Parts: sequence; C-alpha cells; structure tokens
Amino acid sequence: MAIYLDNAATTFPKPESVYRAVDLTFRNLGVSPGRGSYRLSLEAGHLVLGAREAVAEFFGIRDATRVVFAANATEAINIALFGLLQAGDRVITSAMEHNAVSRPLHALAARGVEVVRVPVDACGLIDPVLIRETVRQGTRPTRMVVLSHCSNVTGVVQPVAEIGNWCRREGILFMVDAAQSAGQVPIDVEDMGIDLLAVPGHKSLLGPPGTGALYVAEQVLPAPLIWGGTGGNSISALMPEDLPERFESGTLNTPALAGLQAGVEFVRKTGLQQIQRHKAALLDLLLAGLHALPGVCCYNPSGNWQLGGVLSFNVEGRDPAEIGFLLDEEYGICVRTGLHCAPDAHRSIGTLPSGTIRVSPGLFNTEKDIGALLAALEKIIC
Amino acid sequence: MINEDDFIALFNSPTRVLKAEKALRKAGVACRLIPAPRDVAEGCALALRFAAEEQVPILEELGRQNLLPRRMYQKHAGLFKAILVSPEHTV
Repeated sequence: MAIYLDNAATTFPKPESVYRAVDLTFRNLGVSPGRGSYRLSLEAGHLVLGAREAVAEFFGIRDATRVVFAANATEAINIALFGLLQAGDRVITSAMEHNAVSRPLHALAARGVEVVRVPVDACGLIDPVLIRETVRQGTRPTRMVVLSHCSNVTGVVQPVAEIGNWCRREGILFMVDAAQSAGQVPIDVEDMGIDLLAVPGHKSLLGPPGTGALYVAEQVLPAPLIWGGTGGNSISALMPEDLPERFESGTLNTPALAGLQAGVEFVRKTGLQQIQRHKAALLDLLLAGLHALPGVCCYNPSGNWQLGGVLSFNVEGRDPAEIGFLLDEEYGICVRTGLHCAPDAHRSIGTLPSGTIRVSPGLFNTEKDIGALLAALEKIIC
Repeated sequence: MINEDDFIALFNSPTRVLKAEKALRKAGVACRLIPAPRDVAEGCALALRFAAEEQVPILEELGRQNLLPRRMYQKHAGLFKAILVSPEHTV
C-alpha cells in the first residue's frame, strides 16, 4: 500500500461518508438537477442547493446563490479574472502565485491589463504595506488585488484579512485564491473583506475531484466565461444576470457535489483546529527528522509555519526529481517534486528551476507514515 | 395542474425557486413546484404554485428571506392575470 503525502495536490483518501454520498447519489439521483420539473430532478436540485448552502455557511457567505460551482479552483479563478478585468484595468498580485492566477494574468496582460506583482520576503510573505504603496504609486486606479491565501510551496499564510479590509475601504476588488487554505485555515469572506473567493472542493474540503466554487460578492457581476443553457428563461439569447446560473451553463455534477457536501460536513464536524493540530504534529515530526539528516535545507516560513500543511525541502547536491522517483520506486511513498505549478513562488524563495521536494500530509496520515518517509530519506541520502 | 384562483410565482432562476420552496417548506407553508405554464414561462422554467389563501404568508416569508418572485400571476377564468411584475419585465 502506497503512502500518499501529496495532499496539497488533492486529498486522498476521502472520508467514507464522501464515497457513500457520491455512490448513493449516482445510483439513485443521477438526473439533471433542478432543470426538469419532475420530482427526481427537483430532489437533485435540492441536493445541489444543500451543497451550495453548506459551502456558503462554511465561508461565512450570507447568500448561497452567490456560490458558483466550478470544476476546480482554477476554473473559478478564470471566471473571475477574465470576467472582470478589461484592457486598461490595473491589477495587483504577488510574486508567490500559483499558475492558476499567474497564467490568466499573463494572458490578460497581453490584452492590455496592467499587472503589477509585489515582491515577497525570503519566506514568501507579502507585506500589506507594499500592497498599499503599490496601489498609491499607480498612474491609474487599481481595479483588483488578487492573492493566494496560502502558498502551495512553502505553506506561508498571507495576511489576507488586513489586505482585504483595506481594499474594501479603498473600493478595490479583493480576490483570494484559497486553493491551499480552504478547509485548513479559517476563512470568513465578510471578516476578511473578500469579494471573490476561489476554492477547490477536492483538496482540504475533502470532496471529489472535479469540484470547486467561486464566491462572488453582491454588486459584483463578472461576464460569463462559458455561454449555454441554464435551465430558465430559455427564450432569451442572453445569459441571465442571476447567480449562480450565469456561470453554471451545462449539467452540474450532482454526485460529486453530494460528495463535496459530505466532505464539508466532515471537516466541519472534525473542526479546523483538530485538523491543524493533526497536520502540525506530523509536520513537526518531519521537520525534526529532516534537520537530523545531512545537507537538508527546509523552506518553512517562520512563526506558525505548519498552518499551510506543507513542507518543502531540498538535499544539497541532489536533484529533487531523483529523490521523488526513488521514494516512489523503492519505498512506495508519494511526494511532489519540482515546481508545483508555481514558478513565481520558487523564483521568490530561490529554488528555480529545479524546485523542491514537497511533503503534504493529510488528515488520514499517521506518525508511522512520516517515520517511513524519514527512514527512506535516510537510506537515499546517507 | 393549476386550479382556478391559484397563484404561480416565477423567479427566473432555478436556484432561487428551489431556495424559495425550501424556505417555505421549512416555514410550514403549503406550496408546490410545477413547470411554468406556457402562457407565462418565457421558455422552460419552474414555478411555485400556491392557493390564494397562502398568498400573504408566502410573500411575508419570501420577503424575510430576500427571495421575492420576479413575476406572480393568479388564474382567473383560465387566464393568468399578472399580480406582480418586476421592473426588468416591464420594459
């Protein structure tokens, strides 16, 4: 049995309740949700509404209709960025972003959007003062600030509440990529001044792959990314302005959303504190063990570094890809090596182009798994 | 499907109409989701059907939930008389 330590990519395994919800729904309610008027369709529609309400409640979102389901956080980010930013707009981001943010912004820059990337410190932390200064130095108003809440490379957690509330006072849209933090770090869109929140369903919310969500604050109306049927006002050639339908053309994945709801429920019942405690204990154990190995350099930020749930490291003189290969090939241990789709973050911490070895334990990993990893590393390195 | 004097409410959004039905069910008010009749549907849509005597408690509850319908009709002599039409449908 493989030891899976790549939960920052997607969590695996899922709680039993998630598998059961997917299976039960797929077998008994595999119809188009809320599009037909027959009772099965209405029941499926209510199931999707329940999942929407569960996600809304989890993130302090007052109106569940502002929760748009997407295939993943990347799609959610694309809906928001391409739907809101136009030529001549100015957007501020950071040098710690995942390609899910960096690549859409690169494409938008080619269309005339001014993209400004604020630098970060050696740990990858953004200084809110720098955001404020960058806004004020612009020759035109800033339309949006978009940041990842938590780095998938170092686990650094950004001060989004401070930045978000300042943006709200200044009338600047604030968007958060919560790919790494949703289900791991508390998020409340009101307390944090978040106008747009992109979350994956399949990571720390413990739902199936193919699930994600975008929260869109009231008064914010992006253009749709995809046009098509929405189950209402079909006679109109235009996409509706109502959310979530404006961004949910095509048939939703009801079984997966049932699984997402079960995942959110599992996280809620377990409690974020308990989840953090469990992962932090495993990461502390890992860090202590890595420090005892020769030539290991860890990239954990200072302070409460375990909050992000990942630990990146390198071994002097060794290619991370080779170590990852040997861990898998000889010990059946799954870790992620390379750039983790975040070249900007690796550039910022000085690990470009070879990247790092990243370990991200999940809720179901044990101290025994970390022990097996450390023992394998000792054999590979020494 | 719709009796004389019954009301039907349209929300222009499958999610909003489902949310409305859920809220009303929770409040213990009688209503039923049905396919909107062709005279008022503007394409496929769901409608919330309820008896005339439920009009006040239903609108009160939907108002509390910030889920008021976009359009509402009452059936008279086989025809649907507009009771409420939101501004975007009057232009």
